[in-house]
Amino acid sequence: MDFKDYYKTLDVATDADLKTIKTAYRRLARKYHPDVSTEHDAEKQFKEVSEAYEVLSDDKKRAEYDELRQYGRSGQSFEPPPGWQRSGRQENQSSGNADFSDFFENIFGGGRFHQNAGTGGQAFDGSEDFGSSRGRDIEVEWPLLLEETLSDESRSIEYHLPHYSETGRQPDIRKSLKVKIPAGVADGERIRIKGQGAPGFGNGPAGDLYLRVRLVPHPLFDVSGHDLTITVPVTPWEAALGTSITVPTLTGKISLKLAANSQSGQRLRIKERGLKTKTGHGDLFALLKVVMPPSTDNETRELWQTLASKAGFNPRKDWEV
Amino acid sequence: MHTEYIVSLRLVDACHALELTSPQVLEIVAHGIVAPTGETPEDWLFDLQMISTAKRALRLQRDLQLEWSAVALVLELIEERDRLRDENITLRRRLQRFLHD
Repeated sequence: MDFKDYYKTLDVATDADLKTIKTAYRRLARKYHPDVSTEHDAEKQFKEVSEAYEVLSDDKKRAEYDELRQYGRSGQSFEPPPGWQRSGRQENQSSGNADFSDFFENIFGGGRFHQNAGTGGQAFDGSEDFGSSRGRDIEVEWPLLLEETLSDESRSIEYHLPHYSETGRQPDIRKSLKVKIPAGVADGERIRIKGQGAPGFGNGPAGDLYLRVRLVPHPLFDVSGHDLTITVPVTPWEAALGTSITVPTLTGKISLKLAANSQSGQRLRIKERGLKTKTGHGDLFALLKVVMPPSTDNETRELWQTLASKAGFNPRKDWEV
Repeated sequence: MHTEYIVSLRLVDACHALELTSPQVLEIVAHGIVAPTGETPEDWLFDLQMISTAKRALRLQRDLQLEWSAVALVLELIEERDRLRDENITLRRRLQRFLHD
């Protein structure tokens, strides 16, 4: 296991008083809290900060840590000195969801198990004894392709569950589950599956699994609620004269009638070709984008010139007042 | 494998899911952090979004040592920020398709 320099993590001096440690923790917790921060490694950073605070804010743990600190260097492999014995399981203050490091688990022993048992006992009706506690709820991101949300098939998901025993943290349990995608599922929605979270301890029941749906960006379609938008390139003459064009949808191609004098940026609604809702389907919107040909030959240029002289259209007329 | 979906929870189940006592959940509701449907606590129904919001509120209250009223404000601001960020991503993507595809 690697040694953790908790003073460095909180950016405080080794003789910092509790008030300084608290202030440093509050500042870093605001910066890295996963519910607030937009930094990419916020969760990892927050766990480090929480772990450091857990130790340095507790006199007993801090004294024990200070004793060991003389044998370790930050980030380097660490073994307690010969003859050292941990003082036994300690009361851990923070009931956070942080999974603390191997270093913490080895030095302060069985922390997670103890925390879970404590909060579990409080959460329920008080009838549970210390040796039984409910397993943790697990939240897993569930990326779904738009096409998959239309399917009635079940989809496999794999996830890892933290596992603790009386002796501390054990290797994660790898789980695989087949889940039917609920109709009308939306981006950011959560699905709760009972009893598929972390195993309970003793006679405690397993926690639940929360799947947080993330719709994977599609190369053609943009999502807004249950509606889809596709940007449809059209030629100037198609926009001017009107035509029928073939447009892809999530379930195959359809023919779309374009009226004469259509405008770039105009949205055409195609009913019930969007994503599934709880009761039906959203709509698909075709957003027209008039595209000029990349180059013109002499003959085409002459045709444009004829049009220019006859059309008498000036889109900047308002500026001339 | 059999899977059991849960769409809404009564107060007692919400307490289990949140690992809180009823008075603690009542306090979260009293601060308007979540608004279960139903007139009285016996009739309340919490959807999964509410459970998720309440969990987030608990983490913020505990980790940042905030008052409940501050938690409610922080949650509102985070929600607004996330909504604006999502909208920005969508509009940027749409603009990109319009300008460059």
